[in-house]
Amino acid sequence: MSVLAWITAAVAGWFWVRALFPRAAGQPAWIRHGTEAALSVAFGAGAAATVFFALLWSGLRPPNAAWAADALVLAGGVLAWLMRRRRGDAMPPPEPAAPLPWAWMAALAATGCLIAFLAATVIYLRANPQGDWDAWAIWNARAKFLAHEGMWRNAISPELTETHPEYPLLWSAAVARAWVESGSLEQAAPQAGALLTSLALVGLFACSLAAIAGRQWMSAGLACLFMTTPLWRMAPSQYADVPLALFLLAATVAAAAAGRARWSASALALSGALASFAAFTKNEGLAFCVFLGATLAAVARTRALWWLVGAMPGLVLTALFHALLAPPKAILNPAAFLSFGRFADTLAGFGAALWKLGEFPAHPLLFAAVLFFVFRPQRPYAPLWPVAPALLLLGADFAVIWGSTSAADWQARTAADRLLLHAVPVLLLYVFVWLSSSTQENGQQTVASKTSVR
Amino acid sequence: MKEPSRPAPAWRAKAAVAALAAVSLYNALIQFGLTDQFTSQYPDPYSVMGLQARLSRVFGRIPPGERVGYFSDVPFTEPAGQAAFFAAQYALAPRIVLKEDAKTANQAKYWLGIFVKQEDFAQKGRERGLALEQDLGGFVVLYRKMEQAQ
Repeated sequence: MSVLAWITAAVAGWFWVRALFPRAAGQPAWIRHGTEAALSVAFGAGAAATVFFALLWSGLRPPNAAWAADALVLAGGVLAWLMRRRRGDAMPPPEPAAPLPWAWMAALAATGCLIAFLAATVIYLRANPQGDWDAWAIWNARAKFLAHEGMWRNAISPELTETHPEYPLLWSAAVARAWVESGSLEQAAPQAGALLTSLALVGLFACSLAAIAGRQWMSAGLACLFMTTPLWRMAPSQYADVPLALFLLAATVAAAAAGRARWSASALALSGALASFAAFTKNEGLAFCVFLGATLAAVARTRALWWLVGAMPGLVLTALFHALLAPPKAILNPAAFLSFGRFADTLAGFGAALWKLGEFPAHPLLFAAVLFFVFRPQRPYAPLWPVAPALLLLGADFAVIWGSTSAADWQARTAADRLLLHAVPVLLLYVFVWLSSSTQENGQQTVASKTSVR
Repeated sequence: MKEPSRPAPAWRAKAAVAALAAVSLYNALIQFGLTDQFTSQYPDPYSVMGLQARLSRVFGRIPPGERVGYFSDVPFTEPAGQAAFFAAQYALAPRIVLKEDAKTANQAKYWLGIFVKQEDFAQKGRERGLALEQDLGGFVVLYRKMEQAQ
């Protein structure tokens, strides 16, 4: 039943995704279904948790709030799907990608990596059902408060000085909802959530890359993504960081699809909703939401209002949470920005995290650089704008640690790898999209290769 | 207008793909091996599930809305001290666990003591005005505030 709660949320999310995400002409069915399934996991978990928390706050008992949230998300999704099933927006087929020599080798490696990743995640989850430190110290501990009748306000009690009662509550609400629906506080609920969001993250990365660049580049991209060491560590940790990375990637993918479909209003709204779920998951998600909104305002102009329409419910709840519920906590100390020592500590922390992003020679940045050097993608790199929010987020992360009220070296040392993980899937996805536009020696193979792929 | 880039020589492209494939697969095996090794050597390294099982025996005795006081012979400044406190909070949630130096800790009827070695647990409690309620084993002790105990 703990697993079923996540599945029911994903099914409810599927109707929304099916109604709002544009379809690409001539796209293989597995890419479409894979993309929709991964987006459904993100949207379903995010929407059900958001509505669950809003209903708890309005005074409903946890079981009533959980089932009512499911019913509302499902009913809304079915309604949207019925209204839009014959009026879906369409994306043009992508430009032919450059052929990748020895792509079978990349495919073999990606498959092997995926199997090893799944096996490692399952082994870790079985041996450590409680997850890593922050899972039981913060995220799942707060989920227990939300799951008990009449106790949800304990999750934001100022007495929880060490448990960050000021953090947003989406991921804790998602776990609490699964606990409430299953009727017991079994660790299987957060374990299933961690596994499902990790799979959705990898699946969305793979299918999005395949949709734009073809199956060959998908394999290479996936092999490179699996070089990201923090992904291996965070996937079974039950932290909110993998769900956050999923929301960031999903919001970016939906926004990019909107761009390809002449700024489809429905896809923009979907992107906005996913970004707002990120905002209610962690403060980094809120920063990303602002950066994505600003980027879309710059590139989509007035069409970005549709993004805002989708983001509005989640953003309003996030704003109300911070204004009315979260105990006040100073995040920034303006005087800290004047400290060169803190700047150096932050830089050293980020530098170390960047170095440890992979285990040399298996480092995603090293291989991205090698492939760039070898394949020399066409300039200007296009599309460029989808990476802007992720890069701005990394800049904001750096600034927040530099100017935070905590010791910069400790914060950078303990958090920088997770902060990088939030942005890495988006950045790697577009690196491989750009690489797929490179020119190969035997240019005539391009069309033939794409034909065989699609 | 896109600038056409210079095509990459085929041998260089093949070498790059082969390196990517070999290194990523090798890394996946290493990561899997590290995970397997870590989990077999340190399952539940902070005994979170163990503490939860131990404390489940007193869940019925402490109402969910209760504050539970907490003290330990391991200072909170040490990772082990933090781990014990957070594990206790996780096990006892939705009850809020308060360190003994917290402002509202003196209102707590029930107290939890977590120790790293065998001591006179009753004496440790008496020093704080607490009566030993139940020794839960594994150096985990439930206390009750003295006036409630009498």
